[in-house]
Amino acid sequence: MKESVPPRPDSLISRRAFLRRTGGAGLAASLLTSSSFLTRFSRADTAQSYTGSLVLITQTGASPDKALPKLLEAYQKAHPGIEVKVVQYPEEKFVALYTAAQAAGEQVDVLMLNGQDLRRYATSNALTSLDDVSFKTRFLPEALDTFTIDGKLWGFPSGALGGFIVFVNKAILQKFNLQLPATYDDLKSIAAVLHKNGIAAFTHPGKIIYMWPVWFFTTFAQTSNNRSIERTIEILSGKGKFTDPDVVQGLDLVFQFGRDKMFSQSVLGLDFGNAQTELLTGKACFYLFHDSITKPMLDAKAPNFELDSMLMPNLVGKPIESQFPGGPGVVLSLPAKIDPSRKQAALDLIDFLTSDDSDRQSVELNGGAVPVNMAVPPAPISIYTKEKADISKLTIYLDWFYPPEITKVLQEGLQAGIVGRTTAEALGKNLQATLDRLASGGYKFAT
Amino acid sequence: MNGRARVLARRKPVCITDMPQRSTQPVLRSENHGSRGRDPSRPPPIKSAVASSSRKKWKAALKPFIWLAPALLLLCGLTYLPISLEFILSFFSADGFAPPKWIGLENYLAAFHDADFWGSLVNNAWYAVWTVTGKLSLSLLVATLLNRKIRGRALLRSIFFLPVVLSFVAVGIIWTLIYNFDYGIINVTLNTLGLGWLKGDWLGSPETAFGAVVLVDLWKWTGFHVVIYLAGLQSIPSDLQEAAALDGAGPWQRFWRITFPLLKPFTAINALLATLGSLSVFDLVYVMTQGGPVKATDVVMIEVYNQAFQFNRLGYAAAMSSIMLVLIVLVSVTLLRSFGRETLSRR
Repeated sequence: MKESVPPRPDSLISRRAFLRRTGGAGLAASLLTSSSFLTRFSRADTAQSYTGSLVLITQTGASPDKALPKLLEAYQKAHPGIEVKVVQYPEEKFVALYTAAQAAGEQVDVLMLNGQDLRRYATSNALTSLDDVSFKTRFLPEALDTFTIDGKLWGFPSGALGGFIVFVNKAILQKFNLQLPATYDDLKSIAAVLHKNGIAAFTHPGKIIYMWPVWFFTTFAQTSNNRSIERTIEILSGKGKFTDPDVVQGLDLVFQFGRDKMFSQSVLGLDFGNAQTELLTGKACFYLFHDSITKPMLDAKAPNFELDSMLMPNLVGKPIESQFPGGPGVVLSLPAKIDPSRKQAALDLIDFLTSDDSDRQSVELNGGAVPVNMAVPPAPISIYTKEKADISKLTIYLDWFYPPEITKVLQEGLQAGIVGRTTAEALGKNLQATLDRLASGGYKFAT
Repeated sequence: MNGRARVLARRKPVCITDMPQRSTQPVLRSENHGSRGRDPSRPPPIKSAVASSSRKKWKAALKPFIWLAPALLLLCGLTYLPISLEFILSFFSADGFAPPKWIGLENYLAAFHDADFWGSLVNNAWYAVWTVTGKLSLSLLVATLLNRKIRGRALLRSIFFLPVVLSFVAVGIIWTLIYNFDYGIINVTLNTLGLGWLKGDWLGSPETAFGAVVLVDLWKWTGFHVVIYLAGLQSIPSDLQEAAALDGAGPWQRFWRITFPLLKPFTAINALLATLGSLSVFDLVYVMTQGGPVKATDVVMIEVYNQAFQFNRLGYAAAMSSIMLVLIVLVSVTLLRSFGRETLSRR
């Protein structure tokens, strides 16, 4: 038989109700105040509770990353039970090998990408968005903007901002009483003197086809009146064309270097090592390449070699700024298909590798003009100091915006044009035809 | 005479000596065809005799396949299954990240309209022409010379065969260094001999890169074909040559009228292997030139690789591979038919 409860005066509440309300309020208060602690604790607990291996895929380029092995060793000491396996792919084969790894279902937890590849993978839904990650405030905003596509952040920069400057073997200039060139005509005069003495003006790893576009990015920065990024976005969005005069002029300027025999005779047969050797051994005077080889070249201590640098001279004869193509060194990302049990541990690893301490160590060992972490000073090397002073003239590599098909046509066309097998007009038409074909197949540029 | 009597009359009289003799030895149960206790010395009933004979025939027919099973499994698993899967993939649009999407014959239509694919096919055809011709003629010449009784013959044979056992990658890297414009041994030697005007950017010039790669292919594989021709030369009876010599035939006549025709089966084998190898070439070209400069050495497998792994167009790459497979099969069949069935069955 159900027990009847005596009626309660309205001014009083039951003990049970009181306990329920105060208990609920207390719990809410404690949750609010300790949520961050709990989150951190649970994150740490999750990251710490993961034991096993994490696979980091990275790429090898013209100069090795001296900091990464030390950083990973420190990380593993701090996180016993976690083993970080590094898989290195050669830079020029990265896309091919990573595609094969994905198709084979291999474990991939953290990607250390070339910025050019980030857009490709982000727009293919192959990456995890990192918008909600808390430590993104440590980076330079310019460095983060590069990796924001369609309003979402897809990767964190590592190392330093830097780009393709013109390295100069000053010893050669001094030997023939030559000054640093300020215009294209100066370059031609210098080249004439050097040729008489069996020295090339420019060396370049022409065999590595993906190095050619950097020349176009350099010339187009001038022919577009320093609006190369805006013009590129216009073209890819359909508001401009690759056959526009500034694009064709930019392409033709690159071919002009070939027509005027500015490059080494064997430019199309040179790889990274050969090209660098030509500069170090005095077979060439100038080398348009990434500033990451500054330290290795200085460390080589080659005889009769004095390293200096400059930006590309004014090639167009009008009042423009000499800009140089570049970007943040590498970008750390999470693959979309990462196993959920390893995701937090992978994020933790990225947090460690992009911390101020890690960036400081990376810049110290690898060099770098402008570290991507706001709190980290640059390496004390004169070439980097010079580059840092010019960092406002850095423009992001244009092929970070191109679809791969456009990049391929540009690479092959530039290589062909250098040896006179095509013209700037023909290459412009070919690029535009490729873009038109992609657009008719559904391609839309993602801003 | 009634019917029964007629049947009985037609029966052959049985002679006691025709009867199978009973064994005096004790017969084991198993030999006694089981528990029925039937006399094993007597022939089994007709019905089971037919069944037993049929089972034996099946067993005999199956036996080779049982022995072949492991090899067949490997062949199917590692060759025919991937080829079938690749053919199926050619009807899909696949980038290795998103699920594949059925697009029917679109990849094949795209390949037929792709100028780069046709360009690489033309390059591949020329590659086949030069390497097959070069390998056959060089290997025949070397084999003929090595078939003579010369001092150090065994050592020379080993030297010619050595490049065959080297890896493609090692060969590609070594020859890339040999061809280097500034430091390669070819240009350095030309400089030293006062022939610096002959120096070339062998791998960096579109005019010379193709020939440079063909030369390396010939250097690597000629030894293999030499071995096959040597086997052929040694199978030719020497008395044929002696008889011809006695009849007054000169060395060239003996070679052209006797040796060369008898080597036809070996030429067929060499031609087939060389053609197959040249049409599917990839590693050497990739290591040395990656299809450049300016696509001068671009072959079909390089295009397939680029489409699959540079542009993530796995389905399109599969379609190009399938087209190439059909072409290779057609070329092989045509080659074999041109040599004639009798030539190949002679061996």
